[in-house]
Amino acid sequence: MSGFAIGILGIVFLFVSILLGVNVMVALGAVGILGLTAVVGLNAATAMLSTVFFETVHGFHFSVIPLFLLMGLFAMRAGLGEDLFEASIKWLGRLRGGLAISTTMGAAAFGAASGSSVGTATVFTKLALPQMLDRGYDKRLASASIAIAGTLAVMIPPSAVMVIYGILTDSSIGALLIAGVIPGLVFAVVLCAATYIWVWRRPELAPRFDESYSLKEKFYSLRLAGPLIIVIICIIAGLYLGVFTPTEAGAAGAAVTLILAIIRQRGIKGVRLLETLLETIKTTAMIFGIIICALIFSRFLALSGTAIALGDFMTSLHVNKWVVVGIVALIYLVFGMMMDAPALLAITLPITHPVMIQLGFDPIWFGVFVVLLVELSAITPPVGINCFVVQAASNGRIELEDVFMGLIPYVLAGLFMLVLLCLLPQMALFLPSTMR
Amino acid sequence: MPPFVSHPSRDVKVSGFHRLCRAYGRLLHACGLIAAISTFAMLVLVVANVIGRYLFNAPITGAFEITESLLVVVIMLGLALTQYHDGHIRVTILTRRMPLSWARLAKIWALILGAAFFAWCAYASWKFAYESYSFNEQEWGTITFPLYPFKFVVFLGVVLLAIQFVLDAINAISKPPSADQPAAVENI
Repeated sequence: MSGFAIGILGIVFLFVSILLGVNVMVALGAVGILGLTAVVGLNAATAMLSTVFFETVHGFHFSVIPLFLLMGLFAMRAGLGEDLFEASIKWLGRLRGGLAISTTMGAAAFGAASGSSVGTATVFTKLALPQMLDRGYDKRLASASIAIAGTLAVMIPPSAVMVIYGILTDSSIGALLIAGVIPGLVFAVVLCAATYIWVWRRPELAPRFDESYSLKEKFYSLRLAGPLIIVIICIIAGLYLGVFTPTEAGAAGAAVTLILAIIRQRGIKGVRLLETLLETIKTTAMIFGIIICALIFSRFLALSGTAIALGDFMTSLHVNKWVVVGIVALIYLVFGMMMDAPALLAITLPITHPVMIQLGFDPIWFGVFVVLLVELSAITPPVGINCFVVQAASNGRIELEDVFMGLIPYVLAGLFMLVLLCLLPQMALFLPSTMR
Repeated sequence: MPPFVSHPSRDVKVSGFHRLCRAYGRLLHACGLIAAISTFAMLVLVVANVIGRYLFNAPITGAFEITESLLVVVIMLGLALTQYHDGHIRVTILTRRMPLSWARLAKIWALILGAAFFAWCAYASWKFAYESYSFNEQEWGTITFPLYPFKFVVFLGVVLLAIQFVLDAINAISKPPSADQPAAVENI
């Protein structure tokens, strides 16, 4: 059997095992190592297995993952979601559809810090949904404006998902984090515009919010949210200017949010430090289990020549490379219905990344594109993790269909953003190219 | 006593096997504690190094190398605990809709595959660590310390995980078919 045939068989086995409920980590690792045995023999495969764990977990730059996770959990303990929501209402509430816009922006800022789209959706459903519904907002608009915000969260640094892409594809983590900044901000504007236009065409969906705040009140609302926004800006600037590495940025962010949490909880006890640390190591272990096994699988695809053969096949088709991009996008949207970001990236990148590079795409650009795609798939009907989270946290005040119906304008805005990213790749590449 | 979720449900008559599972869970929890403390140590170390470098122009010697080695502990000692809490991602979209007896078979197969794979990993990482020990491999950075203990931590991590898979498999075989719970969704 040729290497290519073994490779294709391996891909089939991988997807069958995952669908049969095998842990994503085990499926990647077991299929990968059996495939390697078939291609290079038992001894070489075992030798590879002996080094891959240590080489992956013994790295300074990869310690950024637990530190980013820690920063997010501390931000949650510090109640920064409430502060950000309060601040964004005071600053943006009077716009057309202002509460929905405030929610999206507040959740995006919170999500940027926490890096978790599911966590952000839960927190903001509890915070913003009752406020919007009580003021007569339409259920669809209210719930969807929360569910969409997670997509922004993973674009704007610090973002653990970007780091996972960087580790899996051996790309520069710092460059990837910086590459997300402009697309993240542009996407925020696109989403707010989508809300604005939607409410402008159907004003009955969102009654005007009449309370006005003095400038003093506006600035007072920034007392705790402000430090967080400053931290995020410092992290971005520090990475861009090369003042510190992503790991140091993560540690500094975690330290500042820990201090904010101690201030908010009036002491270290309320922060539940041990519980937070245990939660961090479990998520870290989950992510690295998948990453290590994905590296085994990806080495199998490389050594069997499958990755290159697939790329050759795609180029030999002589279809426009944007057709390939369309196919890739479709694959992510379909598989994104079944699993969340780390698992999805781990099983697909060994296949899609080499193909895209062979077609001449920039790995940093593809990183931003894929991360946006993965998050969009987390809200796309009929199965979107974030939609379930919003519905589950709403105490029965909304139906799943409300979220899905409400998301249609936002999904369209997301697709528009993907097209924009294809037309203007410089949006992602400009900042990294001028980095020091 | 920290919050502690016992894996086998408490209302079944507690057999010797379940006691074993719970004792093993306590061991994993202890490993988790070490990993948790290492995480915090890593945070403090990296921050102290940044402050030292920029404010006092005095970076901490070896901070880079120590952080690297701490990450080994953070990840490897958390792997098995995560499996104990069923925290590793799996897809349940199909198995939830299968007849219960099929779903049970799929689950047992998945757990045995996990045990076998990580046993293989354990064998490989034992060889790797032992080799490092036998020629007393050192970290040669700004500070020097032996590297092999961390390679043994890798071995320990995968062995603990393999054993947890074996226990989960025995548990699944001994229990009657029951509806599969969706895996913990830990999105980031």
